[in-house]
Amino acid sequence: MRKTDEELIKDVQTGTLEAFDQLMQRYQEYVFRVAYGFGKSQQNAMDISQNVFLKSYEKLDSYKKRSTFKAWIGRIACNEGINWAKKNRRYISSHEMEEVLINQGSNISQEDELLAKENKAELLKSLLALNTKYRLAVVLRYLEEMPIKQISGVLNCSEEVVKNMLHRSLQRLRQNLKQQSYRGGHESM
Amino acid sequence: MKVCKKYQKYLKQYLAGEIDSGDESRLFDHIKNCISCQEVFQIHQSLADTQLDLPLPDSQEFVRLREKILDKIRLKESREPLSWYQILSEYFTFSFYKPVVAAVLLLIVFFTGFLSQRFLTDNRVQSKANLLKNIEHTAVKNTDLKAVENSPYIFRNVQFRKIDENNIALSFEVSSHVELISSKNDPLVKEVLVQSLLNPEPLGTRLKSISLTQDIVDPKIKQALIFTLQHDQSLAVRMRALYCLTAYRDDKEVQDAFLKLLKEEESVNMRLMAIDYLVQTNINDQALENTIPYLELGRDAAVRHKLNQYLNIEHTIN
Repeated sequence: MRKTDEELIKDVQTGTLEAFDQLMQRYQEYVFRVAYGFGKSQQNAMDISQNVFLKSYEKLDSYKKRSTFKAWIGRIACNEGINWAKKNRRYISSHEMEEVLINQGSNISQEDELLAKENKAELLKSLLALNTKYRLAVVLRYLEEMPIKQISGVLNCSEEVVKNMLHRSLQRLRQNLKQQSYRGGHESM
Repeated sequence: MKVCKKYQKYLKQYLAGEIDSGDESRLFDHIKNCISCQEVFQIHQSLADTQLDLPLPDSQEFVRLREKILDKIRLKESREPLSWYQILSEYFTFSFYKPVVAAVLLLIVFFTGFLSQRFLTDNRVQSKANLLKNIEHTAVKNTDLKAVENSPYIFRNVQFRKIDENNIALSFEVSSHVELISSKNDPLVKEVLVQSLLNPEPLGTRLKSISLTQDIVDPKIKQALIFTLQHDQSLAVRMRALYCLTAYRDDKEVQDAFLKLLKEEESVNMRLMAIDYLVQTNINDQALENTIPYLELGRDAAVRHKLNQYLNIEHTIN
């Protein structure tokens, strides 16, 4: 029978390291996605993920059941991501970003009607260009499909602020996509 | 270009998934005619409907990550707890901290020294007061000569000075020098007086002590005077003790001491004085008569004569 997060946490607290392995397995992709929002590359996201899991193991005793484990570890991922970004701001090369985008672009389906004007690569590029908090709100809402309440828990802000952030994020994405499309048009001319 | 302000509220609610059906249909009606709102809505649809997956690492990458994390945890937990020295040396590896730490340590040493100096001074005052209290307590407890002899406090360099009829200035050393003015009936005064008679104080001090005992009637002093009478090397002191003991002349112990003096004292003058004092007491004649066999015929002729005179015994001068 599949154990709940709370049961696994109890097992970890009594010294069963395998239980922590199971917790990591459950949330590795989620943590990676949040970390990716900061690191902007697979390698950086893996580095941040490692810090997130190590930190969560250290702090597991302070985990209260007021929030879900997912929200709790998401908050740690945000904090770790912010710390990482502060330290490594100047080291995120545009080359890394381009590499990601080229790989992503190869999977773009030309049949997607809703991305008729802007393909997935362009959308992702615009998304990565957003400011960290806005980007994270979008990742959590659309990629993780988190309800607003849970996002507010992860980002440690009110639900109203999350709604505003999402709304502004989409406006900025729209502006970015327009600019890209404008530049693309000029380049092709 | 800005999103239509009028429908921003509905759009926000829609994006959060919290719009009701009436507002939703109003928003959709608006979107049909408003390009800017339409564009934002389209992006929302793109994000929501499209599988905009981030490039996730393959499962083996995640396995390696987890193994790495678990290894780190195991390594950390297997480490012995750090000693204080290790913690400190780890903490102060940055050269910036060294002068700060040195300054803090110096300050600690300085303040510790300052505080301990104050503490020691206070302590000395406190211990002197405690010592005096203990000496006084012992003086009260020492009710006889034996107790004084066994007293834990021995007084040295004793000085007395009569202040007035009731007070005596005392100066002596125990473990530290003490000076105070006390009532002559203070147990401490008596204790120090007695000790000065028992211990080898200078002749002047002994004489002064004895003259002071004249005014103080106390069993302990009486015993000290008897001791002095029998053991002091100085005739002057012994004579003075004899005189002072006349204050207790009706005391059996003193009378016995005088009788013993008649038999053992070298000084004829002393023995004659003792007879003078004894005849003024309530001592019975038989006790005096019993001393006669101890008196030598030649050397003690004057003493025998005086005794016989007192006892009305016919004596023969050889």
